[in-house]
Amino acid sequence: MSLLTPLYVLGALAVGLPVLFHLIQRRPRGEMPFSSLMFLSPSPPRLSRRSRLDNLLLLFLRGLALVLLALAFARPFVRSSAWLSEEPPDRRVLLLVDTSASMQRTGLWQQAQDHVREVLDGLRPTDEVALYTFDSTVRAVVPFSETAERQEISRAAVINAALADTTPGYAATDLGRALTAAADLLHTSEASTESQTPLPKQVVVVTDLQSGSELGQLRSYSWPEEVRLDVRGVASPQPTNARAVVLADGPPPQDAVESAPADDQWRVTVYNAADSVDQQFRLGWADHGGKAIGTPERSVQVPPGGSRTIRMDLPPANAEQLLLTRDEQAFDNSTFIVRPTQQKMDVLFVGSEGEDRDVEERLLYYLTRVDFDDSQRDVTVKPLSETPLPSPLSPTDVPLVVVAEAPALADEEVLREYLQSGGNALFVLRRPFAEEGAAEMLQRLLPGEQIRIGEADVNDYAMLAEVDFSHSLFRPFADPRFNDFTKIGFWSHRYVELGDQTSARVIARFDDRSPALLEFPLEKGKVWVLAAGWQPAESQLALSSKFVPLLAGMLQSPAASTLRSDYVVGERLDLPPGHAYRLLVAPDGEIHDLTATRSQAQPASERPRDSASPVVVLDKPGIYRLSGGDEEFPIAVNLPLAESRTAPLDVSELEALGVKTGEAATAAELEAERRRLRDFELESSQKLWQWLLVGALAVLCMESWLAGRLSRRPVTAVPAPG
Amino acid sequence: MPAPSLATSIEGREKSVASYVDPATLMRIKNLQLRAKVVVEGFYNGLHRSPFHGFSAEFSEYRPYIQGDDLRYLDWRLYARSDRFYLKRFEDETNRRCYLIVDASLSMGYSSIGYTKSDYANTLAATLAYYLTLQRDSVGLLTFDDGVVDYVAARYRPGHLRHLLACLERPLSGTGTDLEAPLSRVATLVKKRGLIVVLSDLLAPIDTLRKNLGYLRARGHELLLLRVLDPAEVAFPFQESAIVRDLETGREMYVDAADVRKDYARRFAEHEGQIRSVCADFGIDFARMLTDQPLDRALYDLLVAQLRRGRTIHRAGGQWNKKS
Repeated sequence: MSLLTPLYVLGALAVGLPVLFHLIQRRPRGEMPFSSLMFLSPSPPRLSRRSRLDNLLLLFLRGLALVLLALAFARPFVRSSAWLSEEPPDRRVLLLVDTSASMQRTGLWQQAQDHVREVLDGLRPTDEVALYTFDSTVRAVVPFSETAERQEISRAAVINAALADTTPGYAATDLGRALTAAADLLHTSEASTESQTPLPKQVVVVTDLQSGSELGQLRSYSWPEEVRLDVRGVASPQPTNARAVVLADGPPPQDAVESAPADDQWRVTVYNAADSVDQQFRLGWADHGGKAIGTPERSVQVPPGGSRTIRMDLPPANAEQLLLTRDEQAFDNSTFIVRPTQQKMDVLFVGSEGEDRDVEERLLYYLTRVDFDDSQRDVTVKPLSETPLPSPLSPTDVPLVVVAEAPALADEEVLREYLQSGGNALFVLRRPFAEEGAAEMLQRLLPGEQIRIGEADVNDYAMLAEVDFSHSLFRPFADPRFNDFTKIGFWSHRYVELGDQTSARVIARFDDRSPALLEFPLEKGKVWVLAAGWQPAESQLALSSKFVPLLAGMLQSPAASTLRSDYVVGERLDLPPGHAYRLLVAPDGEIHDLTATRSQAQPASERPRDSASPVVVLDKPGIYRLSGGDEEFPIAVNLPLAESRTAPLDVSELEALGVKTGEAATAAELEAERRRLRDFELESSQKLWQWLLVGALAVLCMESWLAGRLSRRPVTAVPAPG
Repeated sequence: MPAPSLATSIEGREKSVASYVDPATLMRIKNLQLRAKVVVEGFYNGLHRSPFHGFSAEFSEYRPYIQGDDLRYLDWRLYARSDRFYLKRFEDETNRRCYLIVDASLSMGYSSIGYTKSDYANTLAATLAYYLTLQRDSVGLLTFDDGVVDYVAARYRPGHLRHLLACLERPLSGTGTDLEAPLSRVATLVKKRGLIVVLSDLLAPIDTLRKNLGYLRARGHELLLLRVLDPAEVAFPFQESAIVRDLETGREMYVDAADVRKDYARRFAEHEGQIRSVCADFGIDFARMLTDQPLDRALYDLLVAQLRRGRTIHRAGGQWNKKS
């Protein structure tokens, strides 16, 4: 017999009250008026000697009724033993250990291992546990399946051994991705096992919770209700951490050093973490082995949480890194640099600019004024009016061919090969070209396309009406500040009619709905067709501010991309099509064969689907070297900048993103709650309180009958109270 | 007439007379005037048998005639006998004033024997008033509780007695007994010397009693203090414990009668001792009237007081404090 609300039993104590009141008869029965109290003094109350209990049976009946009522309120029920034999469920604990670069700070990894050990010690034998690590990706080190069948001791040993083999890497911290992945893992594993009751689930994340952690993925994630996050933070006793970054556009071209002595300095930004103690740092160049070389070190003062940009003298030729000293944490002190070399490139212009035209009416006049140069390439515009196209044309050397006149048939063949190997061509349908066989030439070049070109009837002027801002050419104009194309008038333009079966994509249309800019894919290459000239006789395009970015964008297209020389850890090596490199030598001497169709080192999931070239993930900071034949290309790989922001975040920021923190309810707590609910069910099914109430009523009936009988007798004694 | 013999005679009479009207019987008479008449006539009957008739004789003394005296008062018979001119002097009895000060507070409503102290005191006052009226004296009345309730100036004229009795028959009220107010009021109102009879249970602190009685005595008034008490108030004969409620204030007190009786008696005696001491100091006649005792006794007390008054004036010429 158990009670649902045992406190109500205290109500049975009320039985004693009538007896007590009877014994302490404080107030005498009579009241006596008297003329004056001036000669009287009060007597203390006392227990009446006459406190004899009469009618004990009546008193007993009334007390019994009270006790029955109190018991009925206490809701008694009988608990059967079958309900007690249920085993409490286990907990699923997912250990998530941060292995990002910032965990290399002194003492942090040891703390992390201690935390893992502590969590393992606190587990019950039946709990399930798994170990995952994360930086920018999440890796299963010891999944649930491995620990499920093991004993408690061997399970802890497996996890500890696996953790001992793990060391922090160099990648960035994507805490958001790691947490969502962990929560998903626990959530979906729950759905798969058809357990009767949901298991308590706990994610224990061991991390330094640095402010550079990426949390973006949590913003669009709905955290499962039953998963709790327990954050075990690790912190370094030496918080000062700074980072030097060579600004991307800082290094001027190598050949410009001599010609422009004013630019013989690089801009370097030094960031200091928000919780740093020191403010004073020194910067200097170092060679491959980290030995200081070149100009003396520069001192820089950066307040905590701030940044400062300084100019530094150009590094010596053999400098490989910018070294930051006087910093307590060394893991991000080296910034690897490569003095970039500019690739020489040509933009070819096919078309004759007659002498009869004004200079301002020549297409080439405007094309040569477009500055395609940047830090990585030196672009020259070469007109080919009389000479044939050089053969073969390499997309690496010639990123773009502008065609404004039907070329010779031989040149057409060269052009086709160029396009098929990944080149880009822009056909400008200015008036004589459009009338002199442009359509036929395009149809020859683009087999399967039905193209008709004719002069459009323009009333006053036309303008660009439908611009596809999702296309890479127009994406830079997508911002509302730049997307106004109505100021560009076209006094005349051509119409281009396409067949039903066309692979062309219309990037922009005139306001009469005829295409203004078309894109035809041709194997690896692309063909753009502009349905008007840009010279002032036909349009205002060349004179508008949109002209230069539009043409420069054609060189930036992925097909025409050049080799980058600066990467951050975790990025894939991005090789342009048609490259000649065969080997990649990592800083630690590891050699990747780029000619192999598959890299053994990378799992299949991280491989791009459509690329024939192998995927190499640059996973260490340092100088990688691409080599092929007699060429060598150095690549500087640096730590992600966010990794240097080591000031710790507050856990409340995770809570603000909807993460449910705290310890998951232990199995015992869940069991207690379930037992309470079962008791409630049992009680409501048995309803013993109703019988107790009936009993109380019966006793009261008996009491009334007895009292009635007693009162009918001649009263000789005072009835018992109660 | 020598005073000791008078006093002794009255005392002796009080003890010897057993045929007085039983107060319980007397109280059954509803009419207050009739009640007074019964008492007074019974008293007169007794007087007829007493040797003191003519006590209130008007004649006081002879004095030799001096030139200018009114010849109306010359005693011609004495002149015939002794051939000397003597004037007859009379006591100024017709203008005697008597004020009855009657307690009408709620404590007077206490009763343990069927009628209240108030009934008894009112009957007593009516008796005195009737008696004095018969003697053609002016009688005034003042009733009080915690203040002055009624005041009727002393007069002798037809209907005045009826007026007094009507005032006496008013119901009790008031929450306290305050002797100071009526005494000081009488002291200011009554200019001529007179007899002042106080009928009260005197169940109140007596702090101011001495002062006010002193004022009155200083003005030459003769004072008679009749303390009306229920027998239960003196003996406190209760046995059981009970909640005792004060009739005036309503205050309640749990009292175990057996326990407190001794203490009550001690404090009661102490209080009365103080009153008696005050009265002795000022030469005031004090008498405790228990409600189960005959009322005639009050008349004797009155007579003693009158007697003393007359003697005091006669002998001491206003020196009231000379002890008799």
